[in-house]
Amino acid sequence: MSLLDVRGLVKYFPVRKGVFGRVVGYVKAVDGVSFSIGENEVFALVGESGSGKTTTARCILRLIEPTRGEILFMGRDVTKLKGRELKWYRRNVQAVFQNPFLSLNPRMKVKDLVAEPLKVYRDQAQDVERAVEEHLEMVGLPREVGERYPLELSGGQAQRVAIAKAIILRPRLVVLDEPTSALDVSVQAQILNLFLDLKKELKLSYLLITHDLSVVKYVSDWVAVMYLGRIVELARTEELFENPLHPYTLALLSSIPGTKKAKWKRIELAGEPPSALNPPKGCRLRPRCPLAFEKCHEEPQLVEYSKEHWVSCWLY
Amino acid sequence: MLEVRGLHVSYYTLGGVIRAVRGVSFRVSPGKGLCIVGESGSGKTTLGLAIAGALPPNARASRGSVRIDGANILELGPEDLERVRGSLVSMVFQDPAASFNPLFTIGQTLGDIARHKLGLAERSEAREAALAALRRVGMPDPERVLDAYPHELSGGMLQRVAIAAAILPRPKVLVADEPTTMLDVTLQYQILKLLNRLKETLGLALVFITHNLGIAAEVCEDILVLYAGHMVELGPTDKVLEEPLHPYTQALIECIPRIDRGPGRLKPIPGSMPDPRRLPGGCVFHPRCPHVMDICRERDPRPVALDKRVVSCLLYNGEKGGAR
Repeated sequence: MSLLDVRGLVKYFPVRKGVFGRVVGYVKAVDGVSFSIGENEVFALVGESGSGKTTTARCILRLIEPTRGEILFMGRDVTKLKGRELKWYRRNVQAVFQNPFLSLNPRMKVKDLVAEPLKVYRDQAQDVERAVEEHLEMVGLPREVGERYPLELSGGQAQRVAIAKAIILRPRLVVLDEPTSALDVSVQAQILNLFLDLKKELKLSYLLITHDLSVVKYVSDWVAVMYLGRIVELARTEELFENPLHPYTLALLSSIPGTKKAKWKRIELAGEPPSALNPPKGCRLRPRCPLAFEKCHEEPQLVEYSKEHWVSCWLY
Repeated sequence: MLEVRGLHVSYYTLGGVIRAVRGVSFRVSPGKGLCIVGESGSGKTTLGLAIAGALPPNARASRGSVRIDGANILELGPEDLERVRGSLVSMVFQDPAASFNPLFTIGQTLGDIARHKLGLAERSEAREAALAALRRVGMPDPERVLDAYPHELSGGMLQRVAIAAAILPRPKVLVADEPTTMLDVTLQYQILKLLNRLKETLGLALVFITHNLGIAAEVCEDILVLYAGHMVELGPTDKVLEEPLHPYTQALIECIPRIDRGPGRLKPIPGSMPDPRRLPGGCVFHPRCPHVMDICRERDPRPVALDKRVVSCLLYNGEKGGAR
């Protein structure tokens, strides 16, 4: 059974104008997204800015309320949880964000930051001080770091603190929103390895949000590629890199620098992503796609192309 | 021709002196590109600012020279520097939105540059020059863009305008500091291609600053790797990327996730960047180096010429030469 099931998730943001806040349109940030994440699995959502990947994550974390659709966590509909049950959910689903200096309170010491979730959940079963030390060690930080403030740390160290804070309650799922985008490559490699170790050790599942396909290749079991609020391709990671189908996926792969000799078809997109306020009719990639044809004026659906590989494109 | 020789740049702060660039030398010919690669704190941006004559007031180039066609940028007074900026050397920054005054239209901004730097007094002439620059960077619908305010353009378009502004006064050297880092990957590629084309057609000496080695492979003939302000390795891009000599270059290439590898663990570089106020003695990379020898803790390696490039590592000094 899967741990998290997202079914037909839709999030529209109203655009208001004028003194009375009349709604003049909607930004269709997420427009019908479905996927599931299994136990101890890593699922990656990949896309450029405006693709809706972060909005999807924010809906799952219930930081914002989805417009439509279901989010099932261990069989329970997350969008309807309240009070105690919501607390249970938040305990089991934690998050690590891109910039640790924004997600960690600068006025709290590291040890208090890491201990805070235990205090919020009144976890008396544990010796808080020892738990904090243990978790700092798990994320590869020396004990002394506990006495420091976030701004005294390097970016990599601060991200480790954010990770310690996220795992101390032993969640089942951790949402990682661009967790290494702000880090230098040498540190990025350390943090990605840490994610792999923790996944194994604590039987975690991850929802990884990123724009970087090469990171996905290392840590993820599944990948969904998003464009303007829709999933355009979804597959097992090896399968996606072995046999990329959707022109947008091909374009993303082609634009990774230093891949001139790649085996897939090199595709270059024209222009820039259109506004999600008024996405193109039919296939959303059509105006930019070099392979577009007549049929693309109709909207394609995500269909199973082969085992564990779905694509939403009229070419297939 | 751009020639940097033995350049040292330091920042004077309340917390002490930060030696950001320590002894960097290289040359870039017209129509060619040099990529400066390094992680944060490597001194790559400071180096770029020094070349563009745009160091902040608390920074000083204490030693060395930056010569463009013979003239040493570092010796110029404020007035001469003002004259040189733009017409001899221009710069493109990471965040295009922060490069423009939001209160002026693109046409006003570009027109000002044309009037001041090209001496075009007539409004219509300045407008023509601005239009020509926009066309040169492949801007669709340039007339409409001239009347637009910065916020009306997307990041990718604005970066194109920033490049147009930089080449408008016809500089000989263009310094581009992480110009694609804020852009989406599909746009990134378009900007790289544009810079490559401009470099060749306008005979620019391009200095491209990036933290991404993959990008280096796309735009520049030569590559310079910096670590903690020190020049680590300098040479032809494919040589440096395919057979890196310096242990830092080797480790840096190893730790980058690549789509033709994985899944599994990456090979990170242990430890972290040293504090710039307390750099380790001897070779700056020795605390993190897998090939560290006793001598590395004491002696600062000098750059040596080897296999068509320059490398600063004691592994290649004399008797130990060629060891890996």
